Amino acid sequence: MSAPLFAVVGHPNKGKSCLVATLAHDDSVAIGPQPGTTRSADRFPMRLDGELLYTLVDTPGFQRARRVLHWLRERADARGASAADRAALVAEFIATEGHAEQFPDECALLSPIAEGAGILYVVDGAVPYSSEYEAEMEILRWTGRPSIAIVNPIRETTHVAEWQAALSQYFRVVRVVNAIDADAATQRELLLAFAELDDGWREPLRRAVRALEIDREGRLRRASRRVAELVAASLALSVEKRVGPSEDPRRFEGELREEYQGRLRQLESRARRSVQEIYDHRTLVSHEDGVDLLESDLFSEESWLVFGLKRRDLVAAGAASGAAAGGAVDIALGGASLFAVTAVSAAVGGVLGWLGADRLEKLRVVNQPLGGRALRCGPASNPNFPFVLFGRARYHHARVATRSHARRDALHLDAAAGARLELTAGDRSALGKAFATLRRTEEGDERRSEAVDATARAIEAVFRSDDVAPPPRAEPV
Amino acid sequence: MQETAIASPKAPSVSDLLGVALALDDDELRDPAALRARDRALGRAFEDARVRDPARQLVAWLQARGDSATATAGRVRGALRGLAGLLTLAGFVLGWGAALGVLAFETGSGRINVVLVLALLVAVPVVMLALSVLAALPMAGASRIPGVELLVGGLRWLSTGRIAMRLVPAAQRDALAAFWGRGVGHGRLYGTAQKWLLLAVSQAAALAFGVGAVVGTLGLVVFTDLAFGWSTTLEIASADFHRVVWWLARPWSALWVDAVPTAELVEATRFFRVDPTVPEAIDPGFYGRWWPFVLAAIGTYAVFPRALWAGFCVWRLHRSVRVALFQTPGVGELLDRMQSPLIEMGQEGAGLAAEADEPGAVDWASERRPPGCIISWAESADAASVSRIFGAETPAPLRAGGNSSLDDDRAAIAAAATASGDVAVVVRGYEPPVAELLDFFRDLRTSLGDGRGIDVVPLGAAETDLRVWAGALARGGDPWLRAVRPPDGSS
Repeated sequence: MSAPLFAVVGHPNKGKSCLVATLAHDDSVAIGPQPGTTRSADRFPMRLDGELLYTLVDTPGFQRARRVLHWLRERADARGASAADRAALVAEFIATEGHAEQFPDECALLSPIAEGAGILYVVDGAVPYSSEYEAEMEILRWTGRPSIAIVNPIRETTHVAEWQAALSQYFRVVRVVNAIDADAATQRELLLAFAELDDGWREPLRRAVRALEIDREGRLRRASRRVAELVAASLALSVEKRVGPSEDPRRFEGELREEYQGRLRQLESRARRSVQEIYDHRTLVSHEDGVDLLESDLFSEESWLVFGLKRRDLVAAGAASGAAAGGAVDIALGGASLFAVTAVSAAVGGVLGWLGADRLEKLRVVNQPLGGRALRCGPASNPNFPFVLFGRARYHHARVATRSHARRDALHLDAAAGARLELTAGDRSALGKAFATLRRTEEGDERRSEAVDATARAIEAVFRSDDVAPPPRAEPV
Repeated sequence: MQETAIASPKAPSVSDLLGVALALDDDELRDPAALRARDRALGRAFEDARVRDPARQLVAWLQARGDSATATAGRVRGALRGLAGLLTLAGFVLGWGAALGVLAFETGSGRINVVLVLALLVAVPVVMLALSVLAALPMAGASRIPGVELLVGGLRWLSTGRIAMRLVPAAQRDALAAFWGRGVGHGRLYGTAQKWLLLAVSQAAALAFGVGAVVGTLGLVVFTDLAFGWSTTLEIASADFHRVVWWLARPWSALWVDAVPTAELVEATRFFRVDPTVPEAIDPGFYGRWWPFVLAAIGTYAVFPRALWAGFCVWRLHRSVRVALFQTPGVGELLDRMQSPLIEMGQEGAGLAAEADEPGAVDWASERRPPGCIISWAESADAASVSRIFGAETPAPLRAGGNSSLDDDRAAIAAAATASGDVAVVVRGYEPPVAELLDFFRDLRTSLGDGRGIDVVPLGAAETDLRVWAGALARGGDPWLRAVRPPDGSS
C-alpha cells in the first residue's frame, strides 16, 4: 500500500497554505493576502529516516468551480453516468486536452485527488457561509475520496457553527483548527483524525505521530541544553581592563560595563537563534530588551604581574632562593648552626619577594609594564542573575516552541511577562543547585560537563511542564 | 563521503580531537538539513554495525568524511607518532649512553663507584619522576600552595615534549601548530589534554631512557668485565651503607636473592681514593657481584615506576581526550543528529514562485453613479440591500455566480447589455476575486462594448480585502471598470 496522500484544497485565501506550513513545520511556505499565492500543487512529504510516511499537497484555490461542475454534469447527463462513474469523469476532466491551460488551478488541485489523495477542505470560519462554496464541495464529492473539512477561523470564530452545520452535509469529519495558533498537540490530533479516513492510513500516520512526539522531546532536550550552555557561559563571563601602575582603572568602568553587557547580549542572541533553529523557525525575527543587570557593583580591582605571576609566587620564590643560599652555609658549618641560617635567609628572601612585586609592577620592558592594576567587570555574583537569564530564555522558548510555522510576523518578547513566570519549589531548588554547581566549575574541568548536563536536566523539567501548560501569551494573535 | 571501517573504530586520540573540532567548524557553513541527513545516515550505519560508544562513533564519523579535517587529523597523528618515536629512540640511546658513560667511569682504582651509579642512574630518574608528577598536578588545587604554580608552570615549559616539538618537520609542525593554536584559543577546553599529551610523550622518552640504561648495563655485564666498589667522602660505616642498600633491595629480595648485597660484599668492596689498591686477600670476583643489585635498582626504581607513570599518563590522556571531545562545541548536536531519527517534512521541489504582492492601485470612486442595471454576484445583495446602496429607484438586482447556473450568468449579461446606463456589480468583499468573476467581467465588457461603466461594489470588506480587490481589478486592464467604496456600514 502506498503512503497516505492528502490534498489540502478549498477556496482561495482560506488558509490552506497556513495549514500546510503548520503541519509541515515549514516557515518558507509562500503565504500572502493575494489570492493565487499558491500557483501549483506543492508536495510536502514526511519521511522518517528516509521512509515516506505521508504527503501533504498544498494546492491552488478553486477559481472556476461552477464551470468545472457544469462540464462534469454535462458529460454525466450525456452519457447517463451514475454515481459510480463520477470519479472517472473527474479524471477525464483533468486529462482533457486544453483543460490544463483553461482550468490550471482545478487541474492542479484535482490531480492528487485523482491519484488517491484524501481531501482536506479548508474554509474560513470568520466569514459567513455562502452558496458560492457548494460547487467546490460538489466537485470534491464527485471524486469519491475520503475527506475531512477544516474550519480555520482566520480572524474570529463568529461563523464557525454555521460552517460546521453546512459542511457536515458534505463531509464525514469536520474539525475546527486555527492554522496560525495550532500547537504541536493539535497538529498531532489532526494527523490522527486523518488516519481515520482510511484503514490503510492508520498505521503510517500513527507512526508519524509517534515519531513527531519523539522528535519534539528531542528538540526540547536540545533546547534545554542550549539554554544551560547560555547560563553557564553567562555565569563565567567577565571582561578585564589592565592598566599600568600609575593609571586609575576605575575610569574605565563605563566602558567595561558596556562591553560586558554587549557580550552578554551576544551570548543571549546566539542562544535565541539556536533555539529558533531547533524548532525550524529559521526566518523568525525576535525582538527583546537587553537583560537587566541586577547589581550595581560588578567590578573588582586587583594587581597583575607579567606571566600571570601572583605576589605569593614571588614570595615563595624569594623564600626558596634564600633557603637554598642559607642551606649551603649551614651545610658548610656541618649543621652546627641548627639550620638557623636557612630559616633566616628564607624569611629575608620572602620579604624581598613581597617587596619585589611592587617594584616589578613599575618596571617596563619594551615599553610594556611588567605589572599594574586591573579592573574586572563580572562575573555576576548576584544569586538571582541566573534565574533572570533563565526566565527570559524560558519565555522565549515557550513562545518559539508553540509558534506555528504559518506565522510571518516578528516575535516580540515582553521582558515583564518573562519575569512573571512561576517556578514550583522543586524546580527552583533544582535550578538553584545546578546554577551553584556551574559557578564552582570552570570550562575544561571534567565536572563542568556534568554541571551543564545537570542544569540542562533541571531546565528540561521546566520546559516539559510548560509544554503541557504553556505560559500565557503576551502578544496578539 | 568514504566507505569506512565502521566495524571497528578505535578509541579517540588527540588527532581525532583536533579533526572533529575542525570538521565541526567546516560544518557550520553547511546547510543544516544536509547535515542532518548525512549524520543520521552515518548514525544508522553505526547502529547497524553495533558501534555504540559515542566516542568511537565520533572517530568513525571523522574517518567517513574523508575531507580536509580528516587529512589534518591524519597529519597530526603522523606527527605525534613520529615525535613519540623520535623521543623514544632518543631516550633509549641516551639511556644506553648514560649507562655506558657511568659504568665506564672508573675512579682511578679500576672500580666503578656504586654510589655514583645509584645517584646518576637511580636517584636522578626518581627525582625527575617526582618533578614530572608535580607537573601533572591539577592547577586548581596546586595553585593554593605558594610557589607551586610557578614551579609547575616552569616544569611544563621545560617539558621534553614541548622542546622536542621543534625537531618535528615543518609540515607536521604546522599540523601540530593547528592543534596547539586551537589549544591556545580554547585553553581550558584542551589544556588538560595538551598537558597529558606532553606528559605521555615525555614519559615515553623517560621510560626508554631507563630501558636503555638497563640494556646498556646488561650489555656491559655480559660483554665486559665490570668491577664495582663503593666510595664516598661522607663518614659512613660499612654497616650503615649495608643497611641502606639492604633497604633499597627489599622490593626484590624475595625474587632475586643474588641482587641483595651482603654485609661481606659491602665491607670488602669499599675503597678510598688515597689507597686505591686492591687488597690481595679479596677475591676479584667479589667486585662483580654488585651488578645484580645495580641492574635491579635501575629496573625497580628508574624503570618500573616510570612505566607505571607512563601508563597512567597515557590512560589520563585518553580520558582527557574523551572529556575534551564531548565538551567540544557542536559535538552534542552532532551526536544528537546521528542518534535521533531524521524527520523530513519540507517542500519537495522548488514549486512556482509566488507572485509579488501588488498594492491596490485603483482610484476608489466614492461617488456612486445611478446604475442602469445591478448584478448581485453569488447572492451578495438582495433587493433591500441594493436599495440602501443605490437608492429606492434602482431596479431589482440580476443574479449571477454563486448558486446561479452558467445560463443565469449569460442571461444577466444579456439583460445588462440591453439596459441603458452603467452596470453595478455587487460582490462579497470579504471573499477574494476568483477567476470566474474576472471572466464574468470580461464577458460583460464584451457584451456592453466600450464606454459603458462597470462599477464593482465589494460589500463587507476590510481594508486589506479592499486592497486585494483593487489589485485584481487593475490587472484586468478595463479603463471603464472602477471600484466603488461601499457605503459606510456595509463594510
